[in-house]
Amino acid sequence: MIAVAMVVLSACGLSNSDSGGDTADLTITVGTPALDGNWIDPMQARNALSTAWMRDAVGEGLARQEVDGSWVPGLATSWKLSDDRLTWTFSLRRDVKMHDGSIFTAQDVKTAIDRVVREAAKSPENWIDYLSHSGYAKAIDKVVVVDDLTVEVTTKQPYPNLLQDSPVPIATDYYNKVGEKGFMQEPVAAGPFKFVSQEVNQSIVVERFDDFWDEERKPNFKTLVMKAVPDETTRISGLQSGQLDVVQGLSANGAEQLEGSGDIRIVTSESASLGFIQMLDNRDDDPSPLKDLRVREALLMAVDRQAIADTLYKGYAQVPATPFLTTTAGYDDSIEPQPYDPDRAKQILAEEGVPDLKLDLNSYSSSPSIPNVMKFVEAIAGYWEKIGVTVDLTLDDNATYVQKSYDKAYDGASVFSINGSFASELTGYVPYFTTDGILTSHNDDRFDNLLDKALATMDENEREEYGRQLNKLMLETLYVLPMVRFDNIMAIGPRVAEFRPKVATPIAEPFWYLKAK
Amino acid sequence: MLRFALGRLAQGLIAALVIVSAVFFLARLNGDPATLLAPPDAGPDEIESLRAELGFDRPVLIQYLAFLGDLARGDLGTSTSYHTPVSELVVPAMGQTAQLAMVAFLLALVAGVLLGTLAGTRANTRTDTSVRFLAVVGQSIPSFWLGMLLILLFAVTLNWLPAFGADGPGSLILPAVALAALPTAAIARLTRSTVIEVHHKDFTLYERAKGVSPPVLLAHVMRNASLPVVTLAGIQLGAMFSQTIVVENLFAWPGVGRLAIGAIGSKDFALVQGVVVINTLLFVALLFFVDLLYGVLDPRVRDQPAMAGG
Repeated sequence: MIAVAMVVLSACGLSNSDSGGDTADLTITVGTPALDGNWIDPMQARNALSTAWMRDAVGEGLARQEVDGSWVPGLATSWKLSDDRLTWTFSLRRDVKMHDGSIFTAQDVKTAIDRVVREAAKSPENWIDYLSHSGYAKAIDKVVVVDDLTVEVTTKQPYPNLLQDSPVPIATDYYNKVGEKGFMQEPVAAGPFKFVSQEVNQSIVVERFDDFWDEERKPNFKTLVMKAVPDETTRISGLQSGQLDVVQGLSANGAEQLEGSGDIRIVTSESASLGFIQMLDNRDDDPSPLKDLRVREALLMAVDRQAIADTLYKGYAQVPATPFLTTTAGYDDSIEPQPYDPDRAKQILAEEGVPDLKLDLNSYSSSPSIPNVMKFVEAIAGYWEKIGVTVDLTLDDNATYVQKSYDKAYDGASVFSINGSFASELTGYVPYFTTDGILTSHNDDRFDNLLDKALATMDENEREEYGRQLNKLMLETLYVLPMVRFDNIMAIGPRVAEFRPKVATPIAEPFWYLKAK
Repeated sequence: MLRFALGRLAQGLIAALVIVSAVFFLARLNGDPATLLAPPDAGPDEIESLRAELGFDRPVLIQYLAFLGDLARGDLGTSTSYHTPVSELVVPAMGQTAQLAMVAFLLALVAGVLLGTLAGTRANTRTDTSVRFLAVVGQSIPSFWLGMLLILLFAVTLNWLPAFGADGPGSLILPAVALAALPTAAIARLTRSTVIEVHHKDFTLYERAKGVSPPVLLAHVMRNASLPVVTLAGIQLGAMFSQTIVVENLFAWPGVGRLAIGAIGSKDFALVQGVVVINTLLFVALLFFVDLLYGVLDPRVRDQPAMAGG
């Protein structure tokens, strides 16, 4: 029986499990719900959530977002902005090697940016590959190589997010040799992992880059395999059987099942996403009880959000005061969330003349950003009915729901969510909070003004201040009722010593601080 | 025989066309993928231009005609979510599904016929009762649940087999067993009842009276009992290609089932259509093959093509 087990174990690539203290040749396998994007190119990886981690695995940016959400120097050691706020001058890191052995220079920055600008303009054949860079590509005016370690990037208008949005530098000679298609299939950049192979929808394999410049973020194991395992119970079983070392996309129930199971540990990061309810009737001039701030306030205090976070999400969720994620500019943790008070809520409805309020509540039946969304919506509807509101619940599938929301086909209240990977910047709030926003709930130009200013400023402190004002405005207007903020839940097995993922993303990334035992 | 074959083939192609057309229109009932593909901060104009680039702004009938034209040339279109020709996705995935389905099918056929014959030749004994009990269990247990139990026992507790994936022959065992349970039970039950039925026919009685040895008798019984079993097995094999969806999802098996589920969620019309086209053609081809086999097994069928089962 032992012999059979040995054969099977080696067949599944688990033969390294007893390697003791030496981890240098170890393979770490990560189980993920989907690998449906086929972008392994670190410049395009962020087109899909399932491949977004490749940007910081194979790529290394001019600046990088640390696990706490802050931006710190990467391949650029410093940068300065011209007085007209159009030209950025980057000083680059010396003696950095890229995966093909070449030494990183300013030309590699130019190659990457020029590529994005050129290829993104080729529509329709390239539109989807450069989706995540579409705005950036249009903003760039020119890139000038000053010397080997200095590069100037000029934009057509002031572009505050240049540092964050710039593509990762790529190996120039290699790119010129293999061309666009060749590079997309086998990218070469300067990140801590080299790309090895991909089977679409099944797996992506990357390997430690021994010459990576930053020792602290260099993996202490050899190979990282990302495997698509759609079923959560199978992912959990894979972790328990040792076939997987890291599992992402766990539900609160799944995590609860794993809690206290010996050598398996739960890892969480906060602000993966946030579920909220939009009071849609504030979009137009038609009369509606939802236009009354006190009614909206009553609807918020009628819901026992803490109970939802504690029971439905087993404590892997928190009650927010506003729809801001903890990493959004202007987030203020000193604001207390509205307390649960159904009696007061009922009283307010009576005072406002709508004791028998009727309300449409619309939602998707499944959502990538709200776990168990049907139970979530039913719980909210239940609390509202307890204070005498008649709720007419409509559930549509995700695609239909998004389409109908874009078409403004719903009235009353709609469930939506903000996802950390898109919304930790204030730009993520534009569709929901501006008058012309495609998913807006209201018509109030105070939001437009504040967001415009916040997005235009180059000064971080100023942006923070506009964010604070915006946050306060959300609290005062309650066009959007914040419900629950969700943790990103992952688990690690016995061969992993440490894993520190980033906050405000629904996926497990980056793998800089994943250390094997 | 040739006329019979050609007639069947034509029927099959018409069936495939009807099914694919139904899927084409049903998929488009609730919008298109443009809104799902657009970046979250895209404006209405950007979504509209995206829709135009994808060709979803054209009237549905025009889209349908274009689709039929492409299909006639063997072009299944381009997947909007993978940005890859559909055939490049569906063909390798179909290979994986076929591998899983064939192994499960052979398992079901061998186990089903063996168990069914065993029970049929020993009708109303303890063996028969046990087989019938097993068959009821096999037919009523959902494949995903059986799959979960198999994973818990053989992967988590015993650590003999991988819990999921498609790495080597070991990883084929659990999904194949989970998939085979239902058809095994169905084949076993039918084999049992036909064996009992044939056992009571005049010719078996005569052979028994003549003192024909049991193995020869069994061979004669089996040949006559095989017709309904072959029909059922053919249908089971076809059905297996759709049942794999659940099992593939559970075992992370990279087949068409998983591809189809993802494609439906992301409104990847071309991919959904591609999977349906290939699956339907395969099903039609299987039934066609079963009909031919029927003709080989029973010469009477060849003379009455209209009566052939299927």
